[in-house]
Amino acid sequence: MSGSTSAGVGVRTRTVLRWELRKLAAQRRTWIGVGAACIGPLVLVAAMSLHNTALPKDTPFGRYIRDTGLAGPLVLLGFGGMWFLPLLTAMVTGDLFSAEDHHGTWKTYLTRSVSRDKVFVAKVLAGALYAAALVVLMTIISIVGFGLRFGFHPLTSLSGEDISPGRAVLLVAGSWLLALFPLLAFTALALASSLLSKNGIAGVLTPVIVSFLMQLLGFLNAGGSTLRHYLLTSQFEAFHGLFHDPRYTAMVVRVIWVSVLYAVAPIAVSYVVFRRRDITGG
Amino acid sequence: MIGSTKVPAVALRGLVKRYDDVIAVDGVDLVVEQGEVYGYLGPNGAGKTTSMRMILGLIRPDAGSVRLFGRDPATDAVAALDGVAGFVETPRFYPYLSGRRNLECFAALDGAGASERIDDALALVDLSGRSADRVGGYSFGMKQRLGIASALLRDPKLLILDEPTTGLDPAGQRDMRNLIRSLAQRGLTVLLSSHNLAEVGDLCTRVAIVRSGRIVYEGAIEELTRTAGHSFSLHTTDNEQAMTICVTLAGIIDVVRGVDGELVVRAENDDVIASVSVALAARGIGVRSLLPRNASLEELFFDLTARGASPERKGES
Repeated sequence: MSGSTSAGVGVRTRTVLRWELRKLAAQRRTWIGVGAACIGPLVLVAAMSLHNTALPKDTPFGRYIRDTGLAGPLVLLGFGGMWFLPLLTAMVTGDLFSAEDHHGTWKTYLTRSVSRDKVFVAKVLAGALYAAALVVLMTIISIVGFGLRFGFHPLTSLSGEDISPGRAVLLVAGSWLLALFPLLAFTALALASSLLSKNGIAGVLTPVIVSFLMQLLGFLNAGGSTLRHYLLTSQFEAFHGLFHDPRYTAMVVRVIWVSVLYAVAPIAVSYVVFRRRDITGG
Repeated sequence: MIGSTKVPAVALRGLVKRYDDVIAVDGVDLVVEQGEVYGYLGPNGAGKTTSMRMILGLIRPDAGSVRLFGRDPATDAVAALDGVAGFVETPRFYPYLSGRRNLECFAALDGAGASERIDDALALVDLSGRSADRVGGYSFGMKQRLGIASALLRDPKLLILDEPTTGLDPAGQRDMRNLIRSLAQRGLTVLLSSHNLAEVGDLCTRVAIVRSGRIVYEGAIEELTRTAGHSFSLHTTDNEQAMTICVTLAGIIDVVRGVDGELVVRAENDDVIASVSVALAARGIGVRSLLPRNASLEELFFDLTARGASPERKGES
């Protein structure tokens, strides 16, 4: 038996994932995304600290942004969730598959002792972990940044009640957690676009363009309020349901299943294509 | 199964690959026995790389089958590629990682034991000193050598190399051939694709010649040389008259005009050519030069296809 016989067949998805993450960590664009996720909230903190900056009063919690540091993270989520997060995530995940085409490394990768199934799963997980890392970073930095600048004071809910600082921190974190679901759906779209187009630019731009078009549909109220509820970009507003008394649980539940539906189709199509794809380049 | 002398290292049966209307590989039958150094020879675009990709499970055949030590890469690539390594065209790596980091990555994907071979593999291809540098800064030859190192991590019994010397300078080509030769001497089965007849002749014991996706010759190198005939370049004081005389001589296969106006004389053996100079002198024609020439691959192809591939040799194993 050859040296790779028994060991090779047993290479685990965890091993492949570890190397996918190491490859991400070795690329500049990954750290640009991480840097932007760190700096973005701080830029908003700085902007809101300037007394001549107008408050975003037409945005939920915008009028309270200088009253408590717990309003700022929600304003940031409302502002940036629909395009900033998808863009930052797509910068990396939109090139996860196509980078192998660009570097011509599929032929090296897929002739090792690892199945295409495991490679696919590892890349999808790597993309999801990157998206989750960005959300966690932005959550922590925005809460800490705004909190330190404007104080951890009670937050006024959308139905007018005061929420204690401790509970408000949990709700803010929960709001960002909810945003992870539509973000993962955008990540799925970026991954699919990257795989199907074999082009990193298409992989990055597709989710951004889709996000823009959905925001436009939502803004124009095309299709009525029913369609608006099921747009992926609308799911970034689901956190509003957490700040009503009683809570709008339906909004919270909807964000999960709508996001899953948006994610399943591109991932399923990508999986089928990847398994059968001829590696002709490189 | 590896190590069994009964199971061929590579067995292709009726292999076909089409791209729209173009048939890249057209019914290729091929058997490489364990321990052989086998040449897969053909001009650019003949379908060599497509065949190699099908062997490595990178693309699916439209018809026919591939077996590596009896296992099918189309159904279970991981199992079929166990004990198999190599690269098609230029080996490619992550340019933003160092050579060593690339090998660590691929060793992890090869399973336990592969990581322990990294130092030896780097030393064998003479890259130990540059292993910490990013691959993006490597020369073409260094990438080729890193490709060999990457293949050796798998401790292969079958090494599949597609044009391993293409793009290398003469010294690099020599080093690569020496490396392949030393690997073959260790008992590895090597399937070497090339468009260079001299290279294949130097390294391989058997050869398949492929043209337009089809195998037009399959057999021993010596047999190929004999089939192709012995070729000479002839300059005389009267080439027109010389040509008329030469074609009448016994043992002369044919005489054609070369690109520089010289006569290209093909004989059944070297002894026949002596009669040429005698016959020309007898007719008062002076011989300016009569030199043996190495038949180019194109000429060999022309010969093979003009006369038809020897059916008794084609497909033999």
